[in-house]
Amino acid sequence: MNGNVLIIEDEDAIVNVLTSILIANEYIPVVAKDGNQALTMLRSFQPDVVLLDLGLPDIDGVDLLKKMKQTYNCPVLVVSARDNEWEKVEALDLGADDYITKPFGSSELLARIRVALRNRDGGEEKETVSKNIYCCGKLLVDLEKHMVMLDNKRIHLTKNELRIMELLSRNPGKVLTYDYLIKNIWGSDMPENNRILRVNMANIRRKLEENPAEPKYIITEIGVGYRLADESYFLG
Amino acid sequence: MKTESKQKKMRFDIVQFLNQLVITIVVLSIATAINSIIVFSYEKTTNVSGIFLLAIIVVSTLTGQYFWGICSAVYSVIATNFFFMYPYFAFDFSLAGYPLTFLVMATTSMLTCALTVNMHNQRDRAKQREKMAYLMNEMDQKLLRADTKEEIIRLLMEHLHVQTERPILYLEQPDGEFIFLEKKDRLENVLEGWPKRTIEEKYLPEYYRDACIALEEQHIVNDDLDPVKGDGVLCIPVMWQKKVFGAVCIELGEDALTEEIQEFAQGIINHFAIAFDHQALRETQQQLLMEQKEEQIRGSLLRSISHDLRTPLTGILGASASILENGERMQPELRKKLLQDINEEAHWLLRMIENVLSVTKIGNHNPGLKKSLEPVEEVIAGSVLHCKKYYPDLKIEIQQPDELIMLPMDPILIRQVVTNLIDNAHRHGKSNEKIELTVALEKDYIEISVQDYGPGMSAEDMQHVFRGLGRRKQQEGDASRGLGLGISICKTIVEAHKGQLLAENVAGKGLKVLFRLPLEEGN
Repeated sequence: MNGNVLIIEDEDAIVNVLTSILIANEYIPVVAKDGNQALTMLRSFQPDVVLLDLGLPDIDGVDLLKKMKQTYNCPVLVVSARDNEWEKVEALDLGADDYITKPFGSSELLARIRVALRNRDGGEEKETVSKNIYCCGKLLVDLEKHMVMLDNKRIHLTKNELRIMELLSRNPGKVLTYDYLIKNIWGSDMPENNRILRVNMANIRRKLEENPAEPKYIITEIGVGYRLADESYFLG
Repeated sequence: MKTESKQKKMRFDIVQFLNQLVITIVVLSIATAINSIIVFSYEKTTNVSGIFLLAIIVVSTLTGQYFWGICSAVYSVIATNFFFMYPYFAFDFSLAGYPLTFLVMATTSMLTCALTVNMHNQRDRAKQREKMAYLMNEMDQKLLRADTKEEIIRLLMEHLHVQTERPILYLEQPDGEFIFLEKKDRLENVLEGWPKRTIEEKYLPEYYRDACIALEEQHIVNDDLDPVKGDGVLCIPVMWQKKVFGAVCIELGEDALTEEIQEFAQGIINHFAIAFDHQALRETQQQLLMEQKEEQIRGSLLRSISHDLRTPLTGILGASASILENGERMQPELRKKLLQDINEEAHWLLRMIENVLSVTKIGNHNPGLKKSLEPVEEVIAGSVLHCKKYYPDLKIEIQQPDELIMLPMDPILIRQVVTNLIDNAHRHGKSNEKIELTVALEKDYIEISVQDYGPGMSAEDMQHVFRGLGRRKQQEGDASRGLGLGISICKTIVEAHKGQLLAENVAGKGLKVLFRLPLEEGN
């Protein structure tokens, strides 16, 4: 078995789809239809990962997320409707590990669950590569030696570009919000920093991507942040 | 205040007084001279009183004042006795009948004088009234052409400034910004840049408070600012039917306004109050019209959407029902085909819904437009990624400048536009040809175009699709469905960004749809 998954969702049709996908891929799903049920189940069931729909009948999804993070620490994947970018950002900033937008395909869902589980495990046991090396396609980031390789050639990055790449590499497959990146690289969230971040990302794209117009490694989640592709999410 | 104005009037009169004195002396001297010539050359005294009478009329007419007429009358009676009656150059009141002559002459002179002066005054008043009526008329003509509030305020300032020749202050709201026109200011200079001044500025006129009071309490404030210097100010609220639009302050300075000018100023202000009222009404009306139009667009959008949604839903319902009913007996290939259809139709519905959601974000006066500075290349990459989810076999060639272009925009909505354009190009172009997406940086805008290799679009269709939400009357099957809606949503989004959406048929290729977004705010 791959793990226990708590599904917090009130719509039967989506619950059916989620449980059938999860069972077929050897996860154990349990369903909570509202916030109170979810909080009880969290304690009794002790899931490895939680799928949380933000639109619940009894409690605001964001409030529930806050409560969950206080009582029990496990990866939370937010399931959200497509039109609310700020809601996603808010959930991510509150400690959600990732989000997935409705409607989604099964492969996308499974990839996100795998990333979330790996992040929880710290990536030590399951991955064959060392924790300090990120590798995807032709791209390799060595966090110990502070260098980025593309197709076995060392790529020269500026100090900040390297720091951004390292931050992304520590969370492969996970979306990092603009604010999170800015706070961790520059320490403050002055409005001008957003521009500096975008310029840095554009430079990194030009150095690492074969075709910057269709990036394979650094994926922009418009209105939310950036995500570094990992093996299960690699499009190349 | 009142005593001051009298003092001012007196001083003003001295110049006029001397002027009129000279006129009177000259006219009477001439009359006396003519009489002397007649009397001493021809020894005829019959014309003496007639000539003096004429002189009185002339003096009254020229000076327009009783005082000078009466002076002339008295002089004429005395002069007749003294110069032209025996004994010459001496008074003799004992002549028989003289008192009567004197009385007749004095009365006639005074009556004539009164008549002339009266006529004079009336002519003056008529002239002034005519002039004011003319000015008012001219002003009304200009007011009729004024569309905006700013224009009306400009006209108001202009007229008051010209008429009163005083510094003028205009205030719209208590403690708000004001416009100030100094006496020496050239009107064009002051009004050109529409210089609104705030309270914080150091040249805040001392009577700013009075303007606020006039505005708040809705009555005229006549403030005696500095009794020693004789400064005063007149603050008049611009109001019509209990609605207050602003307040005008006329700085009086050393000279008070004449009553006529003050009345005239009040008249001007009343006219402007009506103009402001009309303008406000017009604005509300336009607002209503716009809302009505928006409602219409939304209505036809809804109709168009419902129509577009029904087709795929019918497909989904039909296919799923037949699988449910005959699933076991059905051939596996057929069942797979039906499931595929359901999947495709559902995807299509999803894209449709995304479009509709984008439009609801724009809505009334774009409150939902969340602009942020975004790199264009990221938005385009996002669209391409999005499209490749639906069409894994999508062939697209992207050309864009190497430099990073950042634009303020709502990235989700612009991604929707690019996605729609690629989607259209894919469905209408030949599948074996690629789609060309080009980003070009021009001087003051950025142009993003999507070129397909397809049959292009007929002029009639183009008009339908780009004018608004019109659908073609003859539906051309599934291939064309949703095109009108997708494009009109693109148009709405692009126009909400102050850009424009265009399309052309390119010879040898196919349809090219492009949109331009203005570069702004420090790009």
